[in-house]
Amino acid sequence: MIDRQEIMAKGTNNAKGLKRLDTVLAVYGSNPAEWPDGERAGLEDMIGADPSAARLLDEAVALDRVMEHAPAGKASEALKRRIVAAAVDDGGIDARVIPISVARSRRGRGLARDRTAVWPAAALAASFAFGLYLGLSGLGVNTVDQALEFASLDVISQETDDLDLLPTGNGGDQDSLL
Amino acid sequence: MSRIAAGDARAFEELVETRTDRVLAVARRMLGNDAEAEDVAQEALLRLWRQAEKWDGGRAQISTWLYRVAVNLCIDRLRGRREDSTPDVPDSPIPAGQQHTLEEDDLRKFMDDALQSLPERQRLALVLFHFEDLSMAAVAEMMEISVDAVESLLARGRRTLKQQLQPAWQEFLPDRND
Repeated sequence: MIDRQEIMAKGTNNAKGLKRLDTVLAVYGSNPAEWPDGERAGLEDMIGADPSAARLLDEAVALDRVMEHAPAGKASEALKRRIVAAAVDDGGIDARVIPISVARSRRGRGLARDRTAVWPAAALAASFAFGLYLGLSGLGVNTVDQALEFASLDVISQETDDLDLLPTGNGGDQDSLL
Repeated sequence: MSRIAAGDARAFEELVETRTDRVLAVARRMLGNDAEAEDVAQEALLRLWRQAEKWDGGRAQISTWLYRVAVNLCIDRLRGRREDSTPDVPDSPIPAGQQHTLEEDDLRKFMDDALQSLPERQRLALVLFHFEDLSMAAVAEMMEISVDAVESLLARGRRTLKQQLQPAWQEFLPDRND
């Protein structure tokens, strides 16, 4: 026969043990390697022997699996480039060795700026040269003549009745088509 | 750091390559916003570049220093938000109709919402200890509080998450009936 006091003492110890396990799991998580060295073996024994303790560990493991989903974000290459470029442009330290990526982007930016500046001037020069060419070659006059020719064709087509294009086999009788 | 202090932006680029992800992760989990997290990561790394000349290598590790700066920048932003408006914190991040068969994206969203709903210091303790794997002592040092206080913040934070995310973590429980 088991002593009643022994059962009560065991129950109290179990309750204390479970409470301590619950605290250790709340602080350190489900991985026993993280638990305090002095308590690990005792807590693992309790988990092996007590289904309530095993249940607490299962819950902690499940919670850890959910916690693994906390978004961390991963630094994009663009962000890393931006940080390095900002440091080089910062002026706080005189950057003596500049990474290739930054040097390239700077060269790219420089070219883009140059192109932007050159483009309107080139367009203006080309426009001027073309005007000069038209004036000297008399091409402008010819173009006007050609335009007048097309305009006269347009007048002719408006004057031509669709009936002129009908077959003449039946003598061009308009009524036979109706 | 000596190369960076000498103005070697290529050395800084290497540092950006290896450290940005971690800084960004801390900022993302603290702020719950991608764009703000990128700004914080950029600012933290730029501060390192600007202060490289005065860097005291014996006093702090680069990663610890970066964490600290990033955390302070996050706290500044969170305070700024509080002054602007009262945050809309959901009572339960999981709507009643969506408590079954959670997809990965849903889990990320619910976890993010639950994390953002925690008080700032609980969130910070969780982010540094649980997600960034810093030691309890390192977290205590960074937060300028005792180890006991960190344990208390972690336990409260994780218990709140356990309560809020119950429908999610229950899906990961093993079936103990067999």
